[in-house]
Amino acid sequence: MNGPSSNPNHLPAMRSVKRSNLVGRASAGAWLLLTGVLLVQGFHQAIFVAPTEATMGEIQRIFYYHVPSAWVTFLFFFISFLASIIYLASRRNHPLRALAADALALASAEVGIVFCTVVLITGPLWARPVWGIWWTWDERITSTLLLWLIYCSYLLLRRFAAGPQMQTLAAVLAIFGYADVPIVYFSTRWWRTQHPGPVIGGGPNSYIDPAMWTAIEWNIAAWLSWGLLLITIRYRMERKRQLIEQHAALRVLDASFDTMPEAEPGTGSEREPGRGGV
Amino acid sequence: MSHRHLVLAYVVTWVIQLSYAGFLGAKWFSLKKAEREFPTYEDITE
Repeated sequence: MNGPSSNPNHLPAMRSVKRSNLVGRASAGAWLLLTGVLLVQGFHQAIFVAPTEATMGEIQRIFYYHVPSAWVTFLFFFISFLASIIYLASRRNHPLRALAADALALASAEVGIVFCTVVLITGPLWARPVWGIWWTWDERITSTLLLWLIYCSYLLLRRFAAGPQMQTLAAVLAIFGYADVPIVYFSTRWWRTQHPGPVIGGGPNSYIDPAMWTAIEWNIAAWLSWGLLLITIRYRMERKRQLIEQHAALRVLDASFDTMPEAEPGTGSEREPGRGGV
Repeated sequence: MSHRHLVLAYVVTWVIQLSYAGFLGAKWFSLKKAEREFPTYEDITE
């Protein structure tokens, strides 16, 4: 194959790519290590350091995984929302930026769904011993389930819809779907829900023990770092997939030029043999 | 961690997160396979 590596003029560029790959791998390793440390510390704080809640006892410790997962879900859906806006705004004038934004929207929505699933499973596991029921159709819980379903339909749309309009439709869905996030967040303030009210920033009655708050902070940092790592990996994979798809399309185009009949000499449309117009 | 549901919640959280990481790993390998078929500029320079 006659690639850029055969040209000595490309050697500095090749060295630069290799160097940036090495730097990328080293920083990914450092990030993974940091995330591991944060997750261990978060677990330690949640199980061994945070005080036992007076009424609920040990079962309250689910809170340290449930609440950070919910916050991380909101943040990742917000990233998807912003990336979808960027995609729609730049898809005509800046197609490369639009492709990157589309990849980011997909990556953050997918990881957001993973965290939302954790929220929807850990919630009932807490509710059963505390409320005596697994599930109730109150506003907070129902709107969270709806949020999960909206983003699942976003992924299904991306998976099964065909044609160039798919990315546009997916971006529109991600933007409208995000409207459910403020409803989920404010539902405990707007309605009297069975779900507990806010413990932070929810008015004079919202309070959390500072020792519990430390455990929450560690777990937010840990799961945020883990989630961002997953988004970065998923984003790079999607970009790679886009590149492969583009190269495959270019090859097909190149091959179609090769099979075209040669133009008449002197018409100004002659091609070099074996070279496509791409 | 004395409560059964507490253990279950923590285990389920990890199972979900690691399953997704595993899914990404499997997808990565299938991308690598596709890349061998259609190498991109980055791969040519490596």
